Amino acid sequence: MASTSVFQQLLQLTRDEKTFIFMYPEYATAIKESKEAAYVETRRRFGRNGQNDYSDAFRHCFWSALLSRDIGYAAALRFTTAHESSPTNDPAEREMDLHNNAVGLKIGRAKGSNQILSHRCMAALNARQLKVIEE
Amino acid sequence: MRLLVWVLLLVCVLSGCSAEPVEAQAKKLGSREFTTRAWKAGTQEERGQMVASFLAKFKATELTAAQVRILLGPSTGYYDYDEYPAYLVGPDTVRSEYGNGYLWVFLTDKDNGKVRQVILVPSIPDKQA
Repeated sequence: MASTSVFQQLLQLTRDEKTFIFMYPEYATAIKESKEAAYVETRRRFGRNGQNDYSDAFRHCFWSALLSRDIGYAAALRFTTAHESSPTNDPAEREMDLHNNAVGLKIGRAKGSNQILSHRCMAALNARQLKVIEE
Repeated sequence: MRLLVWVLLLVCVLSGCSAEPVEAQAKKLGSREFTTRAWKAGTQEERGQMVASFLAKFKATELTAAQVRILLGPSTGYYDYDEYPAYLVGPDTVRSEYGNGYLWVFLTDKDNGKVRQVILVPSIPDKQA
């Protein structure tokens, strides 16, 4: 993100994410770009980036779809799971995020442009295939 | 190839620059006194005016995420991890990918929940437009 240095971003990673980046530094750029694209697209569609709501569900789906397309399903599954791995992550929130990541990973596996992946995640949300804690 | 990537990452790390301390940034939003009651009743803009007072009353790095949520309530924004309490404050004319306003974020240690750092996103410039 524009306001934090790369060093600060590295410090924020979970232990499992750091392990992943250490093993596969070539994916660091794709991971950073997919995160930023997910924030921007969520903001465009919902006007905000919330927590535990529809915008959160969409963001996780779209982020995972982008990663699955760009670094492959297996690597994307490993990283998105690592993102939820910290012991202080609330179990209900972790479950919601992992579910929405799983939907996105499958969507991204079928490839397509950012616009198509975004549309498919919105379709999944509208079909109630994505989980939310707060409606 | 992998070595080249690591060298590039190291260059990025070393070129990272730090912003003005968050306490100094917060003072630009105002000097309204923070109380939990005033915070709960306050608008987003009024909450922004209380950030400096909050940071003067509490040493953020001695708080946990749970204690921050007791003082400030549930997050009103989101910053990268569910574990980080995050609140939109200040004028809603400020725009970023996180929403309308400045996002006040408590970056926490993911092992014990203690606050490690507090940031405002985007950083508050010297003169607000």
